[in-house]
Amino acid sequence: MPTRYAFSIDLDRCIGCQACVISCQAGNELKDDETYIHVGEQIRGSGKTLWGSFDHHRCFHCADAPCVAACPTGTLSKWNGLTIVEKEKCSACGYCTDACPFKVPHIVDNHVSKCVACLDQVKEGQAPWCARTCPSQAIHFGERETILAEARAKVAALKARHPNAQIYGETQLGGLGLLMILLDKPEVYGLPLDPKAPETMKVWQSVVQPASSGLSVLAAGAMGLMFVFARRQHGKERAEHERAAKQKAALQTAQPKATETHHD
Amino acid sequence: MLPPGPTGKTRADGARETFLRGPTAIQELIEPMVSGKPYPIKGLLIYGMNIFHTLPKQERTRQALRNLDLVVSIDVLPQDHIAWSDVVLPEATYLERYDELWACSHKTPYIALREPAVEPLYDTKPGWWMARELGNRLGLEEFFPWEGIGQFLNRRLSSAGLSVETLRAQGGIAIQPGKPYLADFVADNTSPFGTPSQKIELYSDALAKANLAPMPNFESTPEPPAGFYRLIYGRSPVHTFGRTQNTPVLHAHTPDNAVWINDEEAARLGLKDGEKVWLENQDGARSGPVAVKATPRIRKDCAYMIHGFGHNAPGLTRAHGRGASDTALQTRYVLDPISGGAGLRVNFVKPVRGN
Repeated sequence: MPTRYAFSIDLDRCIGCQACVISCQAGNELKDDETYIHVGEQIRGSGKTLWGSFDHHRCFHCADAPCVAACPTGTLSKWNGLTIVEKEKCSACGYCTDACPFKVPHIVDNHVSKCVACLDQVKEGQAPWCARTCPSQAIHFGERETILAEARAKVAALKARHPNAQIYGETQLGGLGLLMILLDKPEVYGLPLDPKAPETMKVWQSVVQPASSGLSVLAAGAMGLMFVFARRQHGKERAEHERAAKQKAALQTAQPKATETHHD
Repeated sequence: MLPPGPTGKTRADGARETFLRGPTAIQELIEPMVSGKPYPIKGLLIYGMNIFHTLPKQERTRQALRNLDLVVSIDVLPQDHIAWSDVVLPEATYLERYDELWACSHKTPYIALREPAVEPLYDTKPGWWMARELGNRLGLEEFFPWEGIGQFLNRRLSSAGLSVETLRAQGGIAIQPGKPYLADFVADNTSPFGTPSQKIELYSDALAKANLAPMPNFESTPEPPAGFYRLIYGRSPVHTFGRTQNTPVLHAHTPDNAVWINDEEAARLGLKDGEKVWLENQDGARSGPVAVKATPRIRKDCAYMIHGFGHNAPGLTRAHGRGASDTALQTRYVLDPISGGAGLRVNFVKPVRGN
């Protein structure tokens, strides 16, 4: 029975300790300078209204993932709600880096680099490394329905202190596989209210790709026709050439040779 | 002057003279190495302590190291003081050695085994081995009546009805019953509070008897001079003291510290976020270059740094020369008269451009 998995990150509980960043690197055996997660500080206001928290920049595992739609080799695909990566298929074309509305995937060492949801761990019934490591239980992982219900309850409890607290990801792009519990409106975090695949990619997908496929088909068709015509023409020419040759031969045998030179 | 302690001797760190009581005040122990008072100290064994990043008044530390007849350093890393040592004994890391049992009290007391995961990768030895080998050569054999570390640990564990084998078999940790509640002590007719009244005291008779303030009284401290900021320091969650700046994955994440200056102050000084400066303190001591972090997250009269950077240790190939050292700028401190602790946040710095 397929599950729809999801993460949630509670930005009220996150203490910016970076443990998720480092444990992700260790668990996925990444090089020291490659990270799937970035946790940064986030400050608002000043003086008496100054407050801060931490924000996370990482794959949102979108249901309608633009990167999956853009990927020409099938490296990126959806599995039980998660956007997974099969590195060995990657051609490093970089289309995914252009397609993602959150600018998450990078090309590192000739392959796409982004959160892989610790697929090997999940398949063994374990949560991804970030969720297991977080010391303040800010990162959760599980069935999306359960994660969403928990997140709604948390937001309700947060509203007293943070009136604009909300879940980001409930409906965007078909529903995100990472539900972020924000303490303020998405624009404060630089998150797009209505993330979409870039227009150019839509043009690419709905116009340029079909058009170029169409053109390829046309070109193939044209070449096919050319082959047919050329073969017919060649056949005609050959038939003509054979007829001419026969005629010439017939003329030669009918008349004796005018001069015969005999060389000893 | 306070009455002499139970042995009648004067302690080298000045306990009972300059402060009331407590464990050894390490920064005070450097003083006899320089002044010879209350008595000279001529030999020093530094075991896993990063003296140039731990102790204020680095110039005094350097003077002490020059004066000492013998400096022996035991460490797992080639830290800043290694180059000043007469003898260096490289220690195996915690993953490569047995250690003393970790016996922890508090709410859930436990005894934990600390054992190696691998044999030492290089020519290093565990601390217990060094202690025994040195002890045996110094005529102290009677204090090391055991063959190997296993025998030592088993002897200790036997008093708790355990052995290295049994402790290992239960996951390396034995949890003991604890006394987390006051009621546990009342039932025993004892008190967890070592006070004369056996209660938590907000007004301390013991301190009053020692002619110290029985209740804490705020005394104002000097403000920064014009153009200077109070140097305060703290921690990053990524690094631990001065010991992890060379660790590859942590260095890749946070290779430097920065000096936090209030963003309005920085603008007033014409300093840009990320710009490199040198820090100079009230006594002319300098550290740097270090990047400015212009942020509203700090008061206008303070400058903040993460502790433990600015290493001067070529053996720490990644950390050497990265960031600035707050310790290098702590040329003054205030001695707490009760505990002997050092108040370090009494130094003032100004950012300086160029060298």
